Amino acid sequence: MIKDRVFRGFMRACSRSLLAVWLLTSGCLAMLAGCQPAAQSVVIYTAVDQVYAEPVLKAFERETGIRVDARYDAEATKTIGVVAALEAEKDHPRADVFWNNEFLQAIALKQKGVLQPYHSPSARDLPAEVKDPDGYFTAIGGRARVLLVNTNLVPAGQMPSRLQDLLESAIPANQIAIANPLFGTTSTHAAALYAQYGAGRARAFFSELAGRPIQVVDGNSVVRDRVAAGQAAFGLTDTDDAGSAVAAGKPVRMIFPDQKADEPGTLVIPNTVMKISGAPHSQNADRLIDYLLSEKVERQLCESGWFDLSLSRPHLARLQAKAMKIDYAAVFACLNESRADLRELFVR
Amino acid sequence: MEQSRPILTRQMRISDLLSGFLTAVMALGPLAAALAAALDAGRRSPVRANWLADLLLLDSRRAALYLRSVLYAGSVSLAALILGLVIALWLVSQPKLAVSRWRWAYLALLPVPAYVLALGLFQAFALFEPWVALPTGGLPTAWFAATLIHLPLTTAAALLGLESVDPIWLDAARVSGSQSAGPARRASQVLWQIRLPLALPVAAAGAGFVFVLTLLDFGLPSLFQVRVYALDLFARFSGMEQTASVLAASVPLLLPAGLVLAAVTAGLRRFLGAGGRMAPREAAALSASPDRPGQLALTLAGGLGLALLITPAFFLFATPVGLASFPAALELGGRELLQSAETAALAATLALLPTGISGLLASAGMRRHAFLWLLVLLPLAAPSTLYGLGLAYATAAWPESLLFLIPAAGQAIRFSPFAVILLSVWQRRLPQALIEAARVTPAPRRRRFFCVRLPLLSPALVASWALVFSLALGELPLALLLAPPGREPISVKIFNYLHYGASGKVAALCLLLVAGTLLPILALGLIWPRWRRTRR
Repeated sequence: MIKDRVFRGFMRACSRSLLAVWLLTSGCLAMLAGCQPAAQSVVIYTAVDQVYAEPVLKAFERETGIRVDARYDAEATKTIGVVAALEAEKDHPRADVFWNNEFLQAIALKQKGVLQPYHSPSARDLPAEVKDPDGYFTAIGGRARVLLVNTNLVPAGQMPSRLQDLLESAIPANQIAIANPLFGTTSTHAAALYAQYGAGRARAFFSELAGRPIQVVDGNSVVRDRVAAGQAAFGLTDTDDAGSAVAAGKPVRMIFPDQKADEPGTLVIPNTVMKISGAPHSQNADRLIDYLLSEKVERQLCESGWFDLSLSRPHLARLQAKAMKIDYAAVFACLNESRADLRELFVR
Repeated sequence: MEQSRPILTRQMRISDLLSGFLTAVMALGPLAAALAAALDAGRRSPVRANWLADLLLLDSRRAALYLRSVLYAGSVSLAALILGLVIALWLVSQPKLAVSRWRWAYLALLPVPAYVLALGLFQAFALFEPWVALPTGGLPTAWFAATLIHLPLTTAAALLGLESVDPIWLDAARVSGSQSAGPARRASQVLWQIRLPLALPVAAAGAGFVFVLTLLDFGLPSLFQVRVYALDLFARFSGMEQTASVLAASVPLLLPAGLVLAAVTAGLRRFLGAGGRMAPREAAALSASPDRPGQLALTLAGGLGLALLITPAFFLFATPVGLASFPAALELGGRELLQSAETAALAATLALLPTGISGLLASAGMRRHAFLWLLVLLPLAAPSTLYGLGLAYATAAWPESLLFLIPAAGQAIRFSPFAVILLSVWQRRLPQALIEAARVTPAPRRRRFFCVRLPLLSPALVASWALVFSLALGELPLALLLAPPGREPISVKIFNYLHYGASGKVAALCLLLVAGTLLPILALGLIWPRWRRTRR
């Protein structure tokens, strides 16, 4: 009885002061959320997987004392996330640096005037082909497109070795997996094939692929998971995904496609680092770019498994393979056409 | 049974107008900004968009895709409605079971991202592998997964509907029923002829929400290799080409979503107009007990339904997550969880702003409120990507110190419809006599508001706050688009680690997330019964 009375009194007091409590809470939260220590900082947007990018950025914070405010992209947002944000913020930039996991968006952002040139001293010794001639972006490292094969399901004599094996392998088509070619590196790969083979041949390839009952899954990590679990016999994925399955001791084998003399080699997709036009923390942005392009960081990323090959410093790469020779600008020119075709073919 | 609508004072009219204006700004503002962004992009792009073809679905591929998506969403919502009703019926018919006492607890699953719950299903499927290879892809599997994952929402709506039927009506029906029939038979008649029809509008409203959520979501179908129209739309956004076309192509998606929400609105208004009130659980149970075979069937079906409801979460959390994982998970995502809680708390507070309109919406039999209801529910009908892009465009020039408000504002807009609905339902059960009595007292209007109306509304305000907080805590699409640098939401972190395949860490982070959402619901579960007792 007394407890009830006390409770009732408490609730009545709460009810009366509810508005005040809310206002107070909101104010405190706003202060908590809005007030940040006025330390040196730099803002980076990145599409690199967080598990790989975060340790690098934390190390930069430790070494320089500059706080890194990162915005990570995710598989779901694809280009909508950080690239759309960079475009939307073009006239009032918030980001200083963009660290992308491929190169096509760097060209798109350059064309749209979102970037500003910066010639990093860390990139001075890198080959010319990984540097934008105008200094808008620099490519580092590389991930290759590989075939991941379940060794329990594919006999040694039937191992795929070419991209064409997605169409011609003796393995049933429903045992083959690819990531949705509308997004991510599979989309980049498709555009590269359009540039390499010409639109007609590439369209025919994807048309035949779409006509087969292959598994078109949500992302490269899903391809890896399905092959590793035996739900697919083999699939097309990235080296970082394939490498993690190999490292986990799964019954899988990673194969670089098209390695023979008369074949074009595998597609190697580098990361790109660029400075945002009107970067609010310009000096810190330069320091961060120098850091990201340094040999030390590239080695760290190779060791962590994010890079397996390198177009910028091949001696750091853990793996060696014949890379497809591509012209970034030509691939970018094919992007819209390949995307439109693939949407027609794969979203039905 | 028509409830007397309190006569609006001058001040109330102004406050209604202000709330209506705020609702309109929240619902339409970001969409207008998205349209402006499209026009802006169209002016800059040299390519002319063929938006008419996109609007009218002239392409056979897209037309087929669209039809399949609508059918998929329709069948998911129907299945979830039926199962949700069965579970709710069982829960209200068993008031003494512990599971019935905690019948709202599963709402904690709502903020767990659907793709995370889908992983739980994959793990459940894997258990059967030694005996039978269950298909992990394809339309039937996607349909099954979506139905299960949306079950908490339809079950909650069905429960709300069933418990809102006025027990006086049920008693009256029981007394006036055929006297030759036994008590069990009469209970069955009351259940099928009175209670279910009265509860159906609210239950159907839940199913309507599921339809809209399913229609607009491509993430879950993608996990099961099913292509839907929303994916096509997303691919266009992703391509960042012909923005006007993308907006035009989103209209066919908005249409069925809008129509269903209009039907939901009609159902809700009919329910509110009929004077729905929450019955005490014991009173609800008495009138819901059918005859013995019926009770047995209900127990079996309800128990099975409840088991299905918790299946995804159970198997997700049944992954080997030792106690040692939690410190690691806290280290990994503790800061993000705290920041997400701050954002969610702000979002929940902001979401209460348009609830001023709930008083007007709760008034019965007012046809002119249909438009207002549509306005309130619009943020649920439009793809959140549209709202995110619109807000990002509109706030592009905001200073750094205000950036933390943007995701909170987006989530407040997205989830404020739930707060408004809850407040409207609650206002229908307020003792009008008390309000009328307060009105004739000579106390100043402000004092009447703070001393009478606000205390009466406070339980629903707190419940709305807790609900929006829970939903905002796990929200992903808007968080991805709007989170400022350096303030990564926990949902994004989970999603990113999920992509990497670190399922142990993801499970531990998810447990932390669920714990965060469970706290306010748990607190409400403990406080609410006593609160009700003190109010009586």
